[in-house]
Amino acid sequence: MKKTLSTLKFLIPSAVIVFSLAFFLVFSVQAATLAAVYIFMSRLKISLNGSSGQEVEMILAIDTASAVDSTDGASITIEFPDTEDTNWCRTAGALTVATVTSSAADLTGTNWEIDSGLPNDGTALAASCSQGGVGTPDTITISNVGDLSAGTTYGVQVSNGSAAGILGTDSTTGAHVLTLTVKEDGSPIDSKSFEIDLVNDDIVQVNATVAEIPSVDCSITGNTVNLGTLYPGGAYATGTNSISTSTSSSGYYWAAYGTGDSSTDAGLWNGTDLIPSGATATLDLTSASVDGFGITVEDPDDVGSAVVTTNFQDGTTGTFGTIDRLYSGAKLILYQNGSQTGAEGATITYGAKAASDDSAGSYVEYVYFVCGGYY
Amino acid sequence: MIQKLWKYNQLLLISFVILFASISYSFAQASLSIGVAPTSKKLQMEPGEVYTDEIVFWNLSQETRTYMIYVSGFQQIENQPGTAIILTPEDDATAPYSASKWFTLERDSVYLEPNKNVKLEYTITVPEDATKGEFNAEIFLISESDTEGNITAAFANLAAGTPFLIQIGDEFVENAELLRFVPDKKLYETITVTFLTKIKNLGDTHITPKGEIIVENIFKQEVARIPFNQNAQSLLRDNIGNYEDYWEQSSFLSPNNAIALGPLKARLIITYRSFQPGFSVLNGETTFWIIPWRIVIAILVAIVLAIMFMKWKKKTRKKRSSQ
Repeated sequence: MKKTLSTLKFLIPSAVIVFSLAFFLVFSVQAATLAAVYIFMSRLKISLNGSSGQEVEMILAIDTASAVDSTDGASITIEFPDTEDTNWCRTAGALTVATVTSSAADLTGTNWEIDSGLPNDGTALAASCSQGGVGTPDTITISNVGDLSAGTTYGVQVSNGSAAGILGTDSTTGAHVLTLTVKEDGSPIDSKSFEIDLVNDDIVQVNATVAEIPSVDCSITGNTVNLGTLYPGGAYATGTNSISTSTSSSGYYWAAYGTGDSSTDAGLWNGTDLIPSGATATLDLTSASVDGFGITVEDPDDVGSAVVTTNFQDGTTGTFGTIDRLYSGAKLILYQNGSQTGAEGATITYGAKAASDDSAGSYVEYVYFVCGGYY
Repeated sequence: MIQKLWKYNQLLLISFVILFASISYSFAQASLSIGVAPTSKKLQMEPGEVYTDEIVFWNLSQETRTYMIYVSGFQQIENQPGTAIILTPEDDATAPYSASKWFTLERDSVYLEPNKNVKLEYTITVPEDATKGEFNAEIFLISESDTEGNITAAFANLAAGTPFLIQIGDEFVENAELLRFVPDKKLYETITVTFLTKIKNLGDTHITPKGEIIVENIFKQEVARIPFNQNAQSLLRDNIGNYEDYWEQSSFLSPNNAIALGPLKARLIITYRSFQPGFSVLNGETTFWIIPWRIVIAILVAIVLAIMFMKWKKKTRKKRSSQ
């Protein structure tokens, strides 16, 4: 008994001393959190098996909170939920790894913007995925990582390997927690857990039907053509605007008519006098004895199937085709007689010359352009 | 002092004159644009039948604009088949084949915003007493005129729409006559031939003539086969239509190695009936020449020069031998 007591006398204080010291000797090892990280996945659909058409690629951007020294061997791991084994790493093996310097998910001007590609330690970056089991998750490991500076965001992309190493996605929709860890000599330096959401279908199918119905589109650019000042008996004045046509129909046509004085003829009208478009097919306004109003049309394709009708061709300077009044007086000015490859435009030139006895004032003509596709 | 003030005033006056003289009028410029689908509609209906559908209009300019909607019978423009120009209200009221009164529209104007489709619903109600035959009408838009004070100007307006050809009944007389088939010239230097064809529609419905122009050389070899009325332009009843068809070829040798030179003969074969078209064919024939006369003259000159050179050489040789 005495012996036991004397033994306890030593044992109890010794134990107290050892336990006390042990408490002092305990230190904690805790990884810091990553300053910024994102994973940009090419697909977010559930149950992708990595086969052709179902490939999954991941772009990883990381900014460590502290610098990483590659001397002891640095690596990055992405761990998937343990309950989802073999879904994320469909076939274990080497993956294809490539540095990336930007991605569509970059947020410009923030830490979530890739500054440079993930460096290697002198040996090319390598990546592999391993399948988990009970207590171990599916893991992607990127090794041979070089020195990392805090405050720099590095980018790297992993995808299916050329032989083994096939990535996939889990079979359940909703959030899945991933843990990304940067390790130095196998010890975590920085890590962060975050969720990614998988959906039933990540492809939006956009459907549209292009109507087989033929259509025609007609435009006039510049609906007001100022002819400036006309001097009675003086030279003719001109102004221009343009028309353009595109059609899915077989051909198009343009016709024109005017309003004039609302009774006798088309032409420029000031309420008293009419500068008429005239009864002849064309007007040579360079001739001293001729006055009036007319138009010419530029051929949209010179030698193609768009045809300017003879009277309205712009080959002779100062000669203009005349127009008539109202619908019944509409004259064909341009037509297309074959296949049309694209929109065709033409300049319309308006020419006017006042007679020596025309009264002073502002003259106006409303020219109506009728456009259509053939029936 | 007074002189100085006067000088100063003069300078001021001149400045004002220059300032006012430099004033120029500026005026509003706008763009007009009408897109329309379909470009035409052909219907077969019965008396008393009601038909409802829609036309889609759009505006590809950058300006919003209101267009007035009209319905009227139409006619062809200047014998150009497939074209339509509406009739005046007076003409429409008396036109025997106008179907404008059969149409009911949901509105009389349309507000076209840039790059936006606008649907216009219409209803056609064929009167119970409508006679058999083909009737027509066009739903069309016309822009409203802009006006600017105190300028001499031409204000352009735009009109476009959808012509309707409405056949009542199912038995029609389809009859046509070929009035002319000629090339636009008799002599061509290159193969840029335009064939002009004039057809008169003698039936009581529109026709859409189809066919071919076959060109043969002097050896009766086929050198070209040109489709007639490639655009499928229809010809209204009681109308004459001018058709133009082009034959353009860069080489004087056809794909089957026939020479397209010298006197050529073109044969036109047209069918126009919708039922058993082969029983009613329009035929035409014309001749023309293709002679690349510049090349021919150059060759002739070269031959003449060669003959002259040879003769001169022969003469010189003779002279030398006689010496």
